[in-house]
Amino acid sequence: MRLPNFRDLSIEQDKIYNLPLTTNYLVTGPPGTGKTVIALYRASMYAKLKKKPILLALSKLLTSYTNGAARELSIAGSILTYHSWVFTTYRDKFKVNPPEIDRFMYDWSQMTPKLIMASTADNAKPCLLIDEGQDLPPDFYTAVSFMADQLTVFADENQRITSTQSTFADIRSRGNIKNEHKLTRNYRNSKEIAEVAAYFYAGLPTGKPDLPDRRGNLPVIKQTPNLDAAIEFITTFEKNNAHLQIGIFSKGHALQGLIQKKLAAVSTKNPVQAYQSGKDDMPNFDSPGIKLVQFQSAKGLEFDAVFIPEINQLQLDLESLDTKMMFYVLLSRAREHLFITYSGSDKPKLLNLFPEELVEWRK
Amino acid sequence: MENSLFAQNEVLRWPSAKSLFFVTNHYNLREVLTSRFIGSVLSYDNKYYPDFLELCSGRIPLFTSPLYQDVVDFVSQHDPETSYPVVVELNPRQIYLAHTPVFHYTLSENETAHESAQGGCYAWAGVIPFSSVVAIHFLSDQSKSEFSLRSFSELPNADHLYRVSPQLVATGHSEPNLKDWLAAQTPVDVPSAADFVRMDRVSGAVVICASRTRDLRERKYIEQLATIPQQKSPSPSTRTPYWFQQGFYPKGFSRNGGSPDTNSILFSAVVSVLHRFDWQASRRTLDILSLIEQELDGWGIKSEERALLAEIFDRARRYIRSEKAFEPFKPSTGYDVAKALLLFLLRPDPHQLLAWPQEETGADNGVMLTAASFVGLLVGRKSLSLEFRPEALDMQAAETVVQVLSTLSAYNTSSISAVATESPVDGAVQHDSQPATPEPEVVTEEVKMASDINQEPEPAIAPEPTTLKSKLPSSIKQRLLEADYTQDDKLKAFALALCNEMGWRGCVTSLLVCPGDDDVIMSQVKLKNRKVMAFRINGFAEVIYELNAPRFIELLIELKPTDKRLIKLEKERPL
Repeated sequence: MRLPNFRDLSIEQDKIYNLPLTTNYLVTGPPGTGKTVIALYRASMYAKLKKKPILLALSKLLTSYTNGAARELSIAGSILTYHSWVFTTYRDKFKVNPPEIDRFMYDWSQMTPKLIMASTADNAKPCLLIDEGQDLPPDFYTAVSFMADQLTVFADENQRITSTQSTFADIRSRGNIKNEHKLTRNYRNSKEIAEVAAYFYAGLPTGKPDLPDRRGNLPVIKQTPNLDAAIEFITTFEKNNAHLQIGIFSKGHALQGLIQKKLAAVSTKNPVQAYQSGKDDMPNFDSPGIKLVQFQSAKGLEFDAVFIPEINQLQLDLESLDTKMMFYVLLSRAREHLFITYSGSDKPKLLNLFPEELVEWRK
Repeated sequence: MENSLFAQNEVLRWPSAKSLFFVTNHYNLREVLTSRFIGSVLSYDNKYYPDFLELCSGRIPLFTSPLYQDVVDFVSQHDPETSYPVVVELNPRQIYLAHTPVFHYTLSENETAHESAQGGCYAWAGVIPFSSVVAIHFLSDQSKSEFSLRSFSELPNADHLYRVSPQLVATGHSEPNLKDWLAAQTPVDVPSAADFVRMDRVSGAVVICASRTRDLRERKYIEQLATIPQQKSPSPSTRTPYWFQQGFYPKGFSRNGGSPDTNSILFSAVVSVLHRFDWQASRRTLDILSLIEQELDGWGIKSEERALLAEIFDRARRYIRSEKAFEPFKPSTGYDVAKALLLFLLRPDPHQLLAWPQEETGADNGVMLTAASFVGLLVGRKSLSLEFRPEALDMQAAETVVQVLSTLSAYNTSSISAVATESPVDGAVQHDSQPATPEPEVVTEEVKMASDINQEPEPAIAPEPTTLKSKLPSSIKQRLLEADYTQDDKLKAFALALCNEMGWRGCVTSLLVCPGDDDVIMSQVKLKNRKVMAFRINGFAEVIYELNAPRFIELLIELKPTDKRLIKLEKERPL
């Protein structure tokens, strides 16, 4: 993850970045507006104040993704997953595991009163920052409003996955947060990539960020004779751009494994790393080179360049909103370069969803 | 740097009336810190947060003490939640105020917080180097702490200048017409927004090259920078690739006295395109390549070289589009500037470019240096990480930028002089710039003369009177400060004599004009018991002395009007 310098921050980001450290805040905004970066910077400021920042992310992959930036800001140990922090905190205080109503679902009705009681005697409360705060349950906010010295929540209501998670109103009322600020503009993607991704957006209008101003190259849709030719194109790109972080997204283990095998057979400048959900091996997201990621793990990540190869192999319901949203998430992971490849002579139907004039068609 | 008048833990006191303050918000302070100068609103090319600068485009409002609450409130009112005022204290001896319009507050009795401490504002035109900053005042511990916590890789650390000085702000309020007065100030011929951007980019190129060539002569790069706007050739001893001279000094250089070669032309074309390419708005490197190709159309390159360049551009395009894998350059073949251009287009980020191993590029130092200069031109000095601009080097570059920008405008002009006039604004006394009169009139006004402000600043323990009710004679120093040395030979002769008397360096250039085209023999001779270098020529030689007026004024400002040598000279050479 890249940390912007102060001249890169927009005026709306500047404001959030400069919010006083003595107040609780809810910061809302669609994907790509810079919430995670601001969360990291804010955590580093608390660390400089000799306070104890804890930045909670939803998954191990996302904590790993932010680790490099966290190291740069000297807060490497402060990024934890929600589950590990809740588990460790509860266990430290009460010497037993937190009660669960299901796997990875804590029983907050039991836990909250105990945590609140224990927090009254806590003299070293952390400054808690929560990324993707919409994905945590409302009762969690009731507890942390007592457990945290300061609370800053970054959330996007449009990305809420189930109704058991929190709305903005839940976060404000349960978390005792009176101040709310919005981020509205996309800063992650080039304008051309954001425009194409926006075609696939199927959520509420408020969930779509304003288009960025920064111009870039048109996304490329490339036809190749076969997968080997696509791999050759990807490795040429990697050689010429060995300084970039490159993501290759694929659906399912089989295609990911095949791509990995073919990449291993040809030379690349940097080692190729693969991530598979449920495994402990985490790619080093701060190093340049190719990272292989499956579709379902792509959320929250971003790369300088993204390749989505072999889309001719995808079996998709093109009418489904889920398909569209999945592609919105995948396409919007690319900062500067986006390549979609298919092999064979027949143009996959999925490509009909792409706006003809907003992409470069290559053979 | 001088000690601030408001050192921490100091006994609460009123500031000296001689202090000058630039009042802004903490957001804009970051731009000041990274640029290492204070410019007009036109210097804010990236972000700008409303303060007094926008009221008088091209000028910098400089306040005298006391500062009233409404003044400091004004600069952060656009966002009271996150914005807070900061007061940059300047060394008044380094700000030449003689021709500057000034607005003095007049307060009613019940508003006079401190008798005779009325304060005011100058609408200064120019660029203020960071070396003139004496202190940066925050008005609370909280705001200082909030500011200090937010550090960035391109933001120089100025902790040693930070003070907490709530006592700087007086109760009461300034003159309500102040803003109207600032808005009414006529625009002056100051550097444009484009000038600021151009100098930022050129200094970016210079600094990144200098930081990379520590073993060479860093200073030479900076010296080059100072000559760029004048389009003069740099010193021939400068050890930069020769095409730098063509690119930055197209009117002053041609290799071996002949027409520029392809490397030089290509470099010039790249420089020209990068000066106007907005990298923040577009990251399309292929567009840069196309613009350079178009630029080259007007250069009259030989057709065979043009064809070769077209081939190179085509290859570059294929590398950028990943249609072909990049191979390291072969030594001693091709155009070095074309190689640099390709490296730059593939790695337009300074860290990534300069970390590219030599074995992977095949580029020699000259090629890499040229590529680095392109990156510097593209992003500008202010956006470069401090890694590429060590403090001493960056300070020097910033000072040079200020000097260069000063030469681009007429605000340093000596053809105007300060004459007090009645203000058109009710309730205030205004002193404005007027066309010069040959003999400055005696000024009798309730006015604090700028030249007095420029005298020795004395830390004040008690409030000082800010007005003088006296008849001020037109001193020789004042006349020298206001003279137009291109028109007034008498004053120029006096100035030259003064430079000689004071032994001031850098003020005078001597030109030896020899008769005919006879050989000139240089030798060492003994003159008045000193060994000196001498030129032996046939016939009479003439010596012409040129006065470096800006440098002279700089030194003159520091000179006390009571200096014995000045008085002696005035007696010897009455004007």
